[in-house]
Amino acid sequence: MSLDLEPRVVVEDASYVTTPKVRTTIRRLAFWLGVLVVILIGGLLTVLIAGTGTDGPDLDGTNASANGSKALVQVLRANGVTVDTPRSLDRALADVGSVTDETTIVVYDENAILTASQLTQLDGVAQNLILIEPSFRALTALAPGVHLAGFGNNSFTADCAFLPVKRAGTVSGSASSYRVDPSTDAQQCLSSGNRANSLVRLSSGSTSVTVFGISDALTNQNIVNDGNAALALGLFGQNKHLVWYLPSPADVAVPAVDAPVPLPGWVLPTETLFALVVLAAAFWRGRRFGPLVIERLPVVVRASETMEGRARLYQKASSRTHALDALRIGTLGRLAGLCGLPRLASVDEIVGAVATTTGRTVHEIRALLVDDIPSSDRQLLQLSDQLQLLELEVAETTRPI
Amino acid sequence: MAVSGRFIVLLALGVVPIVITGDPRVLAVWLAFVVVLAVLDLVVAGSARAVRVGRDLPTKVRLGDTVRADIILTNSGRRRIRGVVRDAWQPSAGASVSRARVSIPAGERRTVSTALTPFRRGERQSAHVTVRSFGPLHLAARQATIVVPGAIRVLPAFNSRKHLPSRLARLRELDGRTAVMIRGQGTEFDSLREYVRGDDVRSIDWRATARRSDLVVRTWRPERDRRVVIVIDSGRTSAARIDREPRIDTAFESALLLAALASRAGDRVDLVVYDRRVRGRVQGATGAELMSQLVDTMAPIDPELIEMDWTAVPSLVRSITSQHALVVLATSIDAPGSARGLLAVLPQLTRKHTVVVSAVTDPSVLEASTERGTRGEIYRAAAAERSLLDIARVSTAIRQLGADVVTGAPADLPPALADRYLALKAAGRL
Repeated sequence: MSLDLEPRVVVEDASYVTTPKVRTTIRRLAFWLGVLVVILIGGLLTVLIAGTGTDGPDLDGTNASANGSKALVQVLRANGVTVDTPRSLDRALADVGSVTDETTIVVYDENAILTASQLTQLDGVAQNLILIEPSFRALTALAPGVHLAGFGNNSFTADCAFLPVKRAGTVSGSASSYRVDPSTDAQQCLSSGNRANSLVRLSSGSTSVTVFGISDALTNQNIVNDGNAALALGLFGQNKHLVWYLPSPADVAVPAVDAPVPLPGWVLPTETLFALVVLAAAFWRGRRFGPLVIERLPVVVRASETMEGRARLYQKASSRTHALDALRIGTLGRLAGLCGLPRLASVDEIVGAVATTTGRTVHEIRALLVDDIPSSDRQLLQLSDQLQLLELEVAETTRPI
Repeated sequence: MAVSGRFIVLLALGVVPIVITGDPRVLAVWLAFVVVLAVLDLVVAGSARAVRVGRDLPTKVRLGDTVRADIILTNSGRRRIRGVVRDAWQPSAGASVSRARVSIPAGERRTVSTALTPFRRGERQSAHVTVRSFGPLHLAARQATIVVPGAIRVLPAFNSRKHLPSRLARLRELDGRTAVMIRGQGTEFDSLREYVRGDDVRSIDWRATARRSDLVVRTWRPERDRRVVIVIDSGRTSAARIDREPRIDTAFESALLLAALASRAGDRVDLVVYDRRVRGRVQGATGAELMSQLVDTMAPIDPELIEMDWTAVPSLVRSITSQHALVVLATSIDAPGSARGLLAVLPQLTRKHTVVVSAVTDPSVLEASTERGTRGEIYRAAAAERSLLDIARVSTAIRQLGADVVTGAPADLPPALADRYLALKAAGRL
């Protein structure tokens, strides 16, 4: 440590603390904490009052949102039809009960949950079985001879004698259509052309199976369009009793699972503890020891940047003549100095002087210093080497001993 | 507040009772235990807010030197403070350690010393001191940041002062020389002395010889009380680094050496640092006062990223002196294009003053011009030749306008400029 020649300055009692007190921090945060509490309480109240409010499944008889079918079910009920809305097969079969001939059962298996064996249980349990947009499996099991035929039109006019269709007049909605084997006896309505129909009715004795492909027309949103309501009421109001069955995950058969091996009791607490340790360690290391220090730093500009840039430019453009010119002019200047010529000496004078000094021919020197044009980098290198050698040679010759 | 590594270890140790008992409830018990311990520790710890801080600092330090910077901590609280203190010096202040352990009993004071070795010129500051006070268990700490501004002015290194003794010796040699050896228009008559063998016979003062019986010669001394005006360019080109030193620092070094030499020689030195406005000015100071004012003025000046305005320089010089003066322009002469402003105003200056343009040259350019081994190097050599040529052209132009040029690598420029000054003085051209 060197001697401090300069006087020292002692400052005391000029310090003040910037870290806020705990009380101040709490007061500052109080507003935001209040906002947080209000939001939490508000959210809780909303959930409690309005329920979670999520949309129910499509065509659910208790779902009042756009994709449900509560409107249809309510109107049917108002007209004296007893409507049950079971969500499982067992429940549906129980609702049908023993009175099969006064009952219509509607199955809308949107996610193809039911297995073939479950589907066959539905066969013949009620007077009318209506399949809305059935899967391939459902068609095979319950409506043999009817096949999927892709998407149909978006609007239909009554084109058969089936009463509900006739009353409806026009029906609209995006439709799936079905094609029936020629050998099968079936009533086919709502044609999309090319033998594809969206309503197929198979009758055998007192029971019938109806395949209906326009689920869209039954939703709360679309039931009021065109004759959709008339068709729906006619179709589903055929009997006093309607079972509106939507299969749910409850219908999925669960395979038996082995009883799980219990984990030791300390595993979960240990994991929790380690998570807390990680958090605490992050706080330990992340806690700043006072604010950051700011310093204005100077820019670093290397003076040789221009030179480097120009060199890269020469190289990129392979501008050999330019490069060689620069080298030659430099050499000429130095040679003039070595030969004792003035700064303003002409090139010819320098060439002559150098030729005399070195004993080479003027032609040779001139070619090297002025005339030769390099056609490749290799030649450029050679010429530059020769220039350096020439400078050395002249320097050697003219050096006073 | 802050926690210690010990707190983390203690928390992690909870795994032992949990595994031994296998009871999940032990976790909650352990957490409560650790938190209660930490809170107790925090409550018992001395209040970091109760620390009052003072500073004991040198005002100035020369770049490269080391000084001691003290902070004085007074514990005005009721409990002892055990903990760590951080003095927040800027990085380029070169603080040896920024954290120190302290233990201050209630009502007492302690001094914490830090050695500062600044590695950049200018004003180096420490805005605040942070105190972290741990409790007796060293689990948790209270922390407070205390504002107590401190600053230390880092002066230019003046490494070129090593050249000063030899130049002063040369200056003394000029004294008492006979006029013949240094014949010029401006040398002043000093005194008469007896003739000794070897003196030029032309300097014999016959009148004085006639009055006395001995041969008497006239002696001369160099002119005194001349004006030296140093103008330093702090524009954008001065920010460029040569040999890891900005051009402006080399200019400062040369200016300091020249000023030290010229003030000893009895001349008056004025300095202006200028780009588009006057960034620093030292006028009318002499002797030791001059040097301290110079370094003080130079210390905080960094180059601005703006173009130097040469048109204002003649009037600036005129405002400093109306007499004939040696005007030193410390700038860069890279290319004819960028030197146009300088060349345009030089005639106005040379009409009245002796002008010397001092510029740093890049030794790496000279080196690059001789390395011609590979394809890349040859183009580099060409570019280097090209820039040497540019410098030569600008130098020629400056000489044609009647000014003088001094160039050199950063280490060589200050003595070169001093030599040029001595040469001018010896020739009586000041």
